[in-house]
Amino acid sequence: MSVEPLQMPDPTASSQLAAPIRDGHEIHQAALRHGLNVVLYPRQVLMVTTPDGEHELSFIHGIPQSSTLAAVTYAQDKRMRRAHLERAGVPVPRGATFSVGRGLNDAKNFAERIGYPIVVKPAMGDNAIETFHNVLDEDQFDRAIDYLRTPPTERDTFVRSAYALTELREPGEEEGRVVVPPGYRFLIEEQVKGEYIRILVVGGEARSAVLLPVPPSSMESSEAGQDVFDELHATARQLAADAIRAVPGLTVGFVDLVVTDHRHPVADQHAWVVELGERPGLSAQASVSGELSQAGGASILRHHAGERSIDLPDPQDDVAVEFHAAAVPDLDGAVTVIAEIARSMELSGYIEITDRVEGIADGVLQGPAQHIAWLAEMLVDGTLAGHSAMLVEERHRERQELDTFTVR
Amino acid sequence: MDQSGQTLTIARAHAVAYRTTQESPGKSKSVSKGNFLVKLEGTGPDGEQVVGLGEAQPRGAETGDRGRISWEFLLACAQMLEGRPLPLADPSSALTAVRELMVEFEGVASTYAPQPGRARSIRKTVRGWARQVARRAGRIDDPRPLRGTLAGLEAALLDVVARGLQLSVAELLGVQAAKVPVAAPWRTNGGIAEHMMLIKEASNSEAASNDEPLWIDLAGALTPPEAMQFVHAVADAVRARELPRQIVLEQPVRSRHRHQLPQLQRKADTLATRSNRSGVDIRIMAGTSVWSRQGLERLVTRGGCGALDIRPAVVGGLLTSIELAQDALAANPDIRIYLSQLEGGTEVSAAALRNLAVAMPRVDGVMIDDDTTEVTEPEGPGFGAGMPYETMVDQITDITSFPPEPTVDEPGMTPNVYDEVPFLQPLGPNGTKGHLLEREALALGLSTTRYSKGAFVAMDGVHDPLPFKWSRSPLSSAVSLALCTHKEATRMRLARAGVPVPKGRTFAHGDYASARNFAERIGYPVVVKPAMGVRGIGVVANIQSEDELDRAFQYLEDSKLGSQDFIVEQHVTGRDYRIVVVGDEVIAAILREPASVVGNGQHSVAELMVRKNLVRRLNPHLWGRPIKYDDAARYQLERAGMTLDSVPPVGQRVLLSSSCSLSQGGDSIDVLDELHPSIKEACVDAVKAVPGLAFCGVDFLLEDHTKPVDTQQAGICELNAHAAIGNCEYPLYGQPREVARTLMQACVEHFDLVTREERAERLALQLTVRGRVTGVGYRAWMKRRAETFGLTGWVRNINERTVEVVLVGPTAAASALAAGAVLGSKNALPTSVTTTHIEPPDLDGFEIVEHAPQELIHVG
Repeated sequence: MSVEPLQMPDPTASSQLAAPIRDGHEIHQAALRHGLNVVLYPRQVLMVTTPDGEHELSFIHGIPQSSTLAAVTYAQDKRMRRAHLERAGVPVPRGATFSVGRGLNDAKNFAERIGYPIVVKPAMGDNAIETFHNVLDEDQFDRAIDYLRTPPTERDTFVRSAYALTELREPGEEEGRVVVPPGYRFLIEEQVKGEYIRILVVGGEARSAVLLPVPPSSMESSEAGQDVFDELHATARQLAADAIRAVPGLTVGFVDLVVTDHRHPVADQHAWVVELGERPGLSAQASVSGELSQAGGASILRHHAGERSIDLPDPQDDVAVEFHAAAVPDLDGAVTVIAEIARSMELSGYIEITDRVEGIADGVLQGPAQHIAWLAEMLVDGTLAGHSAMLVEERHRERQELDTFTVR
Repeated sequence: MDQSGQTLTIARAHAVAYRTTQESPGKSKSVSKGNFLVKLEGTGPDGEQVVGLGEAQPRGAETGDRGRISWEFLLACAQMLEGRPLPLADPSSALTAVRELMVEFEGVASTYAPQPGRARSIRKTVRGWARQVARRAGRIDDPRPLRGTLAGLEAALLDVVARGLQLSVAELLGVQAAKVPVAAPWRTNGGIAEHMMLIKEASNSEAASNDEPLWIDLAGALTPPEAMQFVHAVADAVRARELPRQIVLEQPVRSRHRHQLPQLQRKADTLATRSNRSGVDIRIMAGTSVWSRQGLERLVTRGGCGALDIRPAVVGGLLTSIELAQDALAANPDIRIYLSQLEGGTEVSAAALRNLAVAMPRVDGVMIDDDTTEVTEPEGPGFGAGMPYETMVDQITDITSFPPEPTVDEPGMTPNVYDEVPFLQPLGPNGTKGHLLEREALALGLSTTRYSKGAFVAMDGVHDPLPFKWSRSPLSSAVSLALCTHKEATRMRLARAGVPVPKGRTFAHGDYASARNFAERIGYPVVVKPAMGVRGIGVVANIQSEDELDRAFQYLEDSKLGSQDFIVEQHVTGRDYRIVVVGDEVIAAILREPASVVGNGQHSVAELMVRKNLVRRLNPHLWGRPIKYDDAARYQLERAGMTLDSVPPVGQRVLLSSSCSLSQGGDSIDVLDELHPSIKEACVDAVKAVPGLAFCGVDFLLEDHTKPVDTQQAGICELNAHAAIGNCEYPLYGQPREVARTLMQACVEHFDLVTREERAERLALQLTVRGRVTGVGYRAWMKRRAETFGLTGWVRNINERTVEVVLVGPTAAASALAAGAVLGSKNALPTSVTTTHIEPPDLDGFEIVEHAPQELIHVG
């Protein structure tokens, strides 16, 4: 079987970690650091157990188990989310939802009324992606709508974490192109001006804040942000916490705030919550530094452990784990790639094929927790130089004296 | 044979309501139309049985029909027909009898005409006056309501008497022509630009060269000035020899501008005379805008037009069609007459049109939707059509018979019927999933705010609101859904938890050697499918040997998904169960069986199917999920050597699908009390293996649900974290289970909500409806619904964007209307409905009011 040309990835560079898997990765590495055993399933379902096997915690894309299904569903429905924010007295930009079918004219009239530029985003689905900022006129608006007329699963930006999407209606067809049904809805909001701040809220408290040079329109945020948590005014932190509280059942979330000056009380200036998500959204922190993003993941793990009254062992950067990968389609290729990458990351240990028929490889990985987490996340994501596994398990073990990384 | 004094008696009259779907030009979706079939069973002089069929196509303003009213009218007429004698002495007396009956029915129809109500706005008052003035001035026709329904009644009467006389309907009406050419109009949607393109297309077609008249139906798409411009353009194209000499332009302007037709005709005539080409003839054709002799007369007074398109359903029947044609010819012997039918008719309407075509005083073309080029005299008897089951057997929504059909002993289990169906039906086929939890929340005294058909929050006024969407509850975790919606992740997790799952594994594309080894290890039979499958593409099940496995790989390779990684898994042969777990308890279990009917020795497969679907319509979960007559059903019937007309013997089960899906017409049978404890245990273990999964529908394949799980082939193939609620709450057979109530109770306990002690059987509710709810008929809509549901209360506008509703009545009805309030009338767009509890006010009926007649006292 052929293996794609191998590019040596550098896990310390955030660009090497696709933003959609950033949140899960940060929890994963935090768990390894804290001596927890890890099982990773497809779609970034992460289950971690205490060394005694007594307690289990689980996460999806970095969202802890205590965030409820109904809450994440509401967070992904922007119309209901706005309604909840408004009811809780949280300021949001003027906005309304419309359908791509009959609602289009109303939408244009509404846009005229609130005045361009506007922001256009799908009414449902993952937050802070597929958002069109600074839509200046009807022409640009038409282009945004044209993009949204492609069914979500057919879009380049499609990610599989959409819990809110249960599209029962059949897509339509228009001049040979598959399009969303005419009832598909989108949200128009006033484009408000000011500083764009992303705030991580965990357990009802703001934990981190990043000033972003441009609003993120996709999960990828390429331009470097700035850590402003210490200067962020207490009222802005409170506003972010209130916004998350307005969607009952979210343990974790990010809130995007637009303010004139983040150092001043929000009551003295214009301030709006322009985005809110059920995920931690740590790619913003990662644009500042790997450490900031890592700290965000650690705070979520510690909080969730606290909810379950679990004491975590002290964190260690270097760990040793037994590594188990199951249902690996291309076993020989995958083992070769894992070894090469492990060596490039200066991990020690070994890997071997243990059951060809079941597609299982086992081994030992020793080294920095973040590198081991990275390898596992990429493999289950199917992006480790094209190789994939349906399950990876890592169990802590005593460190062994191994010089290098080998295939056995 | 001398038949004078002989009669045919209508022994039984049936009214059948059904929908037809067909592709419509220019639209991506097929259109669905509601039709009625009138079936008359007659007994002839010698006791012989004849059956007459007529199809009614009620189409709103086009035929003067109005949904529910038309159906009620039809039932009244069908009842009047029961036991009626019709003379069979000769065709002319039979026709006279039919005419007399139709006059009688028209009299009844006029009592169903909408009575002008009290106008609620100045605009409506002025409009009402304008209408009266126009009618007096003869500018609009007298109302002849329910013409589509009348046409169906008349057709059935003509069919039954013609059959009694052993004639075709054409013979009964009097054959005027041996054959009539078939014609078809060119159609498009859009304005003048689209129609210009259409002409260009037409000019390149065969029609342009063979000099046949070219018929273009503009369906009222143009404004009068555009129409004038269009006539010019057509004339130019004819002159340039791009179009044939003879052109027919049907209904270029909307019905309200029909008085412009004569003017357009004059322009067309002038342009034709000026043309340098000989024999140029451009006709303006009146379409659906002329449906009465009165309307025709007015058109003639203004100068008339060159052609007329008659649709029997629009003018109110075959006899009226002939009369209209006679009048038109009397006024203008040169007029061209075309016949066509409305969209969404079955073969019954088509057969009626064929019979009419040869009985008309003149027809230049008849629009028949098949490949023939001409209509010749039909052979009969009657219209020559039978029950159109092939087209509509799975689309029947109601059958009412006068007298009612005698009951037949039905073998097998007795199906459940549920009286809350009328309340739940307006919420759509998934209404149970979106509403039942709210019903239970309200019954426990919680308040709610609803945002859409699926989403609401429940509040006790003390704790944070609890959000719900469909069956996604605040009790389950986000993690659980992510895991359950990934099949391989679920399999891995359950296998690690020691729960029986079909063994399986993903392989890299092309790695067939490894896959063969794997199949060998898990043992045959196996299933092969693509890793990211859609709609069963490339899937092969029940593979028994390595040889068959290789063939399955080849099949997968050749399929659209052949380049994907693929899965090989154990094929579990078993029956299909859905088992519902709340917390750590199994609370409901159904067996799902493929769609089937059971013979009673009297009815045909088609009739059994109709009967079963009508029973399914009395089930809140199944009413929108009928047994379908599709390729799968045809395949199953063919395999059994049967057709729709076969009459299966008593007790024989006839399969109509191989799928156990309830949406494909499958049966649901409650088996909870028979479930073996080990099966329940396996389900609970499976659910516990998924973090934070509080409500789950377990899909279990089992050979026998009464036996221990380890003594049989068994495998859990799916966990549904947002499972349907209605399938176990409302099984077709067996004991219904309170799924919604149990789940809501679990939420109440988990979040420690303050509720009523007892579930309320009656509710008194105040609804605050926000959004686009005024000036859109919302209050009238609410009043109609409340009255139909048997609720008392009132509705009033609070301000431009808010309406208040008070509803008092039984829990099922009141809570369902509270849910339906978020949908509202056609043009309403409510954004939220907040429902709170009040002391029941003292009321008799349901009123639209300006001010609250009583002060409301809130409770809870």
